[in-house]
Amino acid sequence: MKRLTLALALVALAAVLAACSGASAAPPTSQPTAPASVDPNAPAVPVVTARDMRFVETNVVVEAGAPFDLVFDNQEAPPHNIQLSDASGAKVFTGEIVSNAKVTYKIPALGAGTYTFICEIHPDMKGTLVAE
Amino acid sequence: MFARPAALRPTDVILRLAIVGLALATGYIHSTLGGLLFTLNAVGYLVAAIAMVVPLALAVRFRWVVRLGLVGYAVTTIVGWAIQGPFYSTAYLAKGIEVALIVLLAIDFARIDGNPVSVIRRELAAFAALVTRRSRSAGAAA
Repeated sequence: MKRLTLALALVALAAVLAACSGASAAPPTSQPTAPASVDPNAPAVPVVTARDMRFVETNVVVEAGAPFDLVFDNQEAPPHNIQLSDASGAKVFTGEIVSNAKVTYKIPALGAGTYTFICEIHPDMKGTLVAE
Repeated sequence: MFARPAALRPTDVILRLAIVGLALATGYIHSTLGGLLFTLNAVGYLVAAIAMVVPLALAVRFRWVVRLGLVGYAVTTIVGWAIQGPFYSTAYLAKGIEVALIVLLAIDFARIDGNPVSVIRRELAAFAALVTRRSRSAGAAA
């Protein structure tokens, strides 16, 4: 019985270690911020900032029908991201979760309309994105 | 008030320490996530970890409740995450820890308390006996 118990305890600890080692294997869903484009005619990249457990920019307007970059700047330790959903609630984009970091999300073309964005971890953090 | 030191074997001590460590680890992860819900979850794990080792007579007497409660707490946390997500590396780490915690708690329960159904039956019988004794003594006094 003692040996069985010890074996089970070791299996449980091995499971934890396996979870730890596999933790960083998930592929990122967005890329770290690259140097800003120097094209003066390029449209301004929209920015959403997370601070004090809320989004600072809660209304974002982008061009419809074209892929675009969105800079997400999480200025605090709790992890946040941006998840975009259309009017029907269908998820159209989920960004990488980051802490104290700025990332640029490559968002695919969106049809004209109003989308809501939330933080996946803290769904009470909300904003609206309008594609027009 | 304080319980007499129980005859714990080294394996029991290691098991108990592992349980406390895992509960504190997942509690810490939840405390870093921000927001009321995660903070309360972290506090719950902290309280349970303390209850697993505190040498108060009441805690020792009802350690089986703490074990079952902590299993239920971890299961609820896992189910809540499975429903709501999000599914990312830190969450997988926390869930791995919680699964290990449940396994170790089950082993600890089996070693110390035995069959959970028997434990609950025994406790219900003890409670019924206590109520009967109290009502008899109240009747005798009246």
